Amino acid sequence: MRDWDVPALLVVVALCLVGVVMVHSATAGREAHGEDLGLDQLLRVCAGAILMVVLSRISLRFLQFAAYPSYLLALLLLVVVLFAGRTHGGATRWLGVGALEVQPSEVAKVATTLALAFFLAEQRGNKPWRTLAIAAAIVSVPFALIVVEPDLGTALVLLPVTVGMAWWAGVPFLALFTVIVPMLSVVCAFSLVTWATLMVTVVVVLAWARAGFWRFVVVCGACIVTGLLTPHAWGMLEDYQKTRILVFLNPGLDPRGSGWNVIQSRIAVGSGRLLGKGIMGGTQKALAFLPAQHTDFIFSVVGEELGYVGAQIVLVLFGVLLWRLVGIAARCRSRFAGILAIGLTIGIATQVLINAGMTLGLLPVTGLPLPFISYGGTHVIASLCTVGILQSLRRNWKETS
Amino acid sequence: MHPGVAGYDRDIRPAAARAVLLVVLVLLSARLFYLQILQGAHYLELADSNRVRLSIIKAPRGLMYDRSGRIVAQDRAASTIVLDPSYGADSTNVSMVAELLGMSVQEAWRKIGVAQRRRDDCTLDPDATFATVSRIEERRDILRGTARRLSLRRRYPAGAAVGNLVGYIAEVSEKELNPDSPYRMGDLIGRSGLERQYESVLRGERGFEFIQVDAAGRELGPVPERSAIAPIPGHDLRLSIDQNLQTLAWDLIGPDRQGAVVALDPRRGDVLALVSRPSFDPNVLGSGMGHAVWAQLNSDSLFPLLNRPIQCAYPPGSTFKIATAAAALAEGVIQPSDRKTCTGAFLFGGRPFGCWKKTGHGSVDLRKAIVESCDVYFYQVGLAIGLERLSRWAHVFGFGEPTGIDLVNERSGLFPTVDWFNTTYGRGRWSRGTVVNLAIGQGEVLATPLQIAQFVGAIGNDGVMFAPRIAMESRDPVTGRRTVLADPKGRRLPLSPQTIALLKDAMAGVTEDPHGTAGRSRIPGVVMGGKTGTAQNPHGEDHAWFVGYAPADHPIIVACAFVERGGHGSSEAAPVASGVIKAWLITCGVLPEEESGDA
Repeated sequence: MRDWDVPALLVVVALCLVGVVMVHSATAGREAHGEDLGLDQLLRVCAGAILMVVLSRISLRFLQFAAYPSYLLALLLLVVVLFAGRTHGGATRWLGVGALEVQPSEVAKVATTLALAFFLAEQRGNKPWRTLAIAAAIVSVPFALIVVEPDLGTALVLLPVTVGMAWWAGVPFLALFTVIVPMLSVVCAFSLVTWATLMVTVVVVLAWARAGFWRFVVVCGACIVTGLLTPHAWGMLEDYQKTRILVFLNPGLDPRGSGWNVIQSRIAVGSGRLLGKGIMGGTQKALAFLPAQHTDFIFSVVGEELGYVGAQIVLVLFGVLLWRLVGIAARCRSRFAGILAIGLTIGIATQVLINAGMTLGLLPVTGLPLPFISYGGTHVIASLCTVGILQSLRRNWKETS
Repeated sequence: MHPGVAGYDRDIRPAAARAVLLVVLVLLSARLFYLQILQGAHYLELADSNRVRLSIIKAPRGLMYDRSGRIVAQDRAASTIVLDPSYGADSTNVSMVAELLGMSVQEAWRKIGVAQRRRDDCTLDPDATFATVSRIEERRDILRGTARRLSLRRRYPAGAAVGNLVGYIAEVSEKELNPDSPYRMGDLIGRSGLERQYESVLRGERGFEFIQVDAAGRELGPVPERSAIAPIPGHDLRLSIDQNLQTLAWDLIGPDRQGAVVALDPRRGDVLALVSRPSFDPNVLGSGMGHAVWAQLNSDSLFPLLNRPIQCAYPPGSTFKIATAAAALAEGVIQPSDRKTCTGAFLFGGRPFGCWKKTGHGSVDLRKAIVESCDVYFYQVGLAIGLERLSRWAHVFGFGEPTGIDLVNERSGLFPTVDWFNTTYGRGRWSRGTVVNLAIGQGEVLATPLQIAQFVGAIGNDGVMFAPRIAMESRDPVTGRRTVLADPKGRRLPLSPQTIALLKDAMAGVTEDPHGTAGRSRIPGVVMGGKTGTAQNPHGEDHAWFVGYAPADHPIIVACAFVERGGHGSSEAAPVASGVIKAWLITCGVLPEEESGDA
């Protein structure tokens, strides 16, 4: 245990236990079809913990060796899931043998991070555009395969991971900015205020970075063009096409109109007030007002039953964990280890942000689990494996020093 | 210093990453703080209303018993299908529910619209059949916001025989659902008859139950920590009606005739039977399809919705001669022994007024004039007393005045006064001769069967007249406490005992004397006093009247039968009334049970 980051480990254990208790409460405390999944979750946590310990013993060399093969294996699994996957709730995301089910997208997330880290570590930053293009190619294949499952949430996590890793690997900030901003423009184009805010930010950032004239023209021009075209292109679609796209992107799309999921989740969290309704005491939860309450919306059960204090503690725990993980990345001597560490860290951080943001009504609803806490075998095990790999990087860093 | 990064003196990347992390965490924490601390109370309220639905427990409506405890009106359990518009008001769901209920989608949406404006549950089917309930229950998992509630429907064992008497109940209309109204959509309200008259007594007060619902609006059962507020059941009513007598009277009129029967206990004013025919089946009108049936009844040319004994006023014909005789004796304008000659007609103002007996009655005194119903005698009595005095007495006897029976929409009939003629026809535009006709109950005079029964009953009761009443007492089903609704209210008519004795003797003669007009309706074993009447009807066949009471010296029942366009009172109406009287005398033990044979 000498070479473990003990605070990070304790935080992970705490988060997993919170998860077990909340999954138990979310499933057993429900009036209709109450099947207690708490024990189930505990078993998965134990399995994940064993894998975490095993992976923490792994050598850096093996990770480098396994980077591309694991990436190819993940792609294969993603293809297989498209043809032979099991479907739950309108999405084909699972590969199953008997009662055992695996979510290849969770595996692909880690594998893609490995492959990206391996590739980026070899680049020396003198050809940023070439580096970015190849990195984009590496990510785009699993991204596309995950999107069509569909599992937009998990796929989206890959984007900040890629950008963050490239930045960590030395790709100039301005180059990344030039690529990212037009994409943001597409997303923001649906609201004039948001889009205008984005444009002001873009101009300020470019000025601050002392961007050249042509970069100024290209970045702003791209933003304006995409910003103008998107609503127009969207408007040309027929209603059923829009619906189809929206439902495709988000199968759990509000069955009752006017943001039912979001509203119910907000009511659940808000009604918890300072100290919450107590474990097993959530009423929103108990009466199934919360959609996917033991998986994607577990954080609203936390908010409802443990109150502001409990939810804030959970957020602080995540903060401590991520703070420590950034520390691991910062102290790595090996480029590969550092880039891999920051990639895995950003992966976890993004999931926390998207999931909590969705639960609290800050971000649109995309199905994505809360790391360590949400119910789900592959995701819990994958999260713990990520921690194991990060721990191994820490040990490897010490070895190399 | 990281080898891969050029241009930085220090590696700022970890600090930048941590800064971003902090910003994100602070943002999420601020949101948590806003939702849970600043807006917590608001969301708690939302969460409560989210899971709790106030469900109404309808109060059972009071029962109605007849005077010997037979059920006249009673609630029975029924299934109501309701839809909560906040869960189920989308087109697929509504069309699915409508199809299962066998109603049109437009009709379903109309009802939902009303409910939405009231922020109320929508009652789609107030009395669902077992098959409908099964269909709904089978699809419970697909349907949203749809629930089956147990409710209570009204049952009237005697059916149409009590139709106009009890009236009917129907769903409260949208117009009546103003914000102050104690009613809610789907509530039932008395629409006519006793159900309407005693609505506030019978209704009770609804209770509430706090029901947990899940996200699809399915009810999961009561909220444990909030106990239900029990409904207060409506009070029961005990009626003076004898349901057997009521049904007998209904049968005696028969399905092919229109008419009315009123039977009273003249000693107290108890209404023993109040029959109108044709009528309606209150069981059908109170059901979900009531509206269509009502529309059909309302356009029926025989007016089944009219409660004839209190709502139809007709010329009373010769039954009114008792009133004329009483008034003339009280005024002293005739002496019982005065004799007049009937030649079959009477000339007044150059116009002949005929007697019903074209050959004439010969020499007639008062008793004979009543027994044989001589018109010519009473023409002259009318002239002698004059319009002013006759009309004043008629009003004293209750004509042209409401009897005050406890039923809605009673008509008061008419006995014209001098003023009435002056305003209706104009001063000097009417003849003093009208009183000739009025004296025999023809012309402008209109009376309800109830008024005739009340007046003649008062004569039989030695001059004490009681206001008729149906509901005797109410009973709180919870405490068992009884409340007398109205004490018998009697008043003595200003007639001398000699006058009353004379009239009673004459009315006994109507059935007992060989020439009495109702001789054929004599009841063996008891003397019945009575008077026939045949009212001329300018629109067709004459209306037949008979009013009688028995036993003649101290009557316990007075019955008035009226047959619309029936013809002669003696042949059409008298058997109905005497049949009712006889049955009641048997019930009361005054007459022995009928020997078997021709029953």
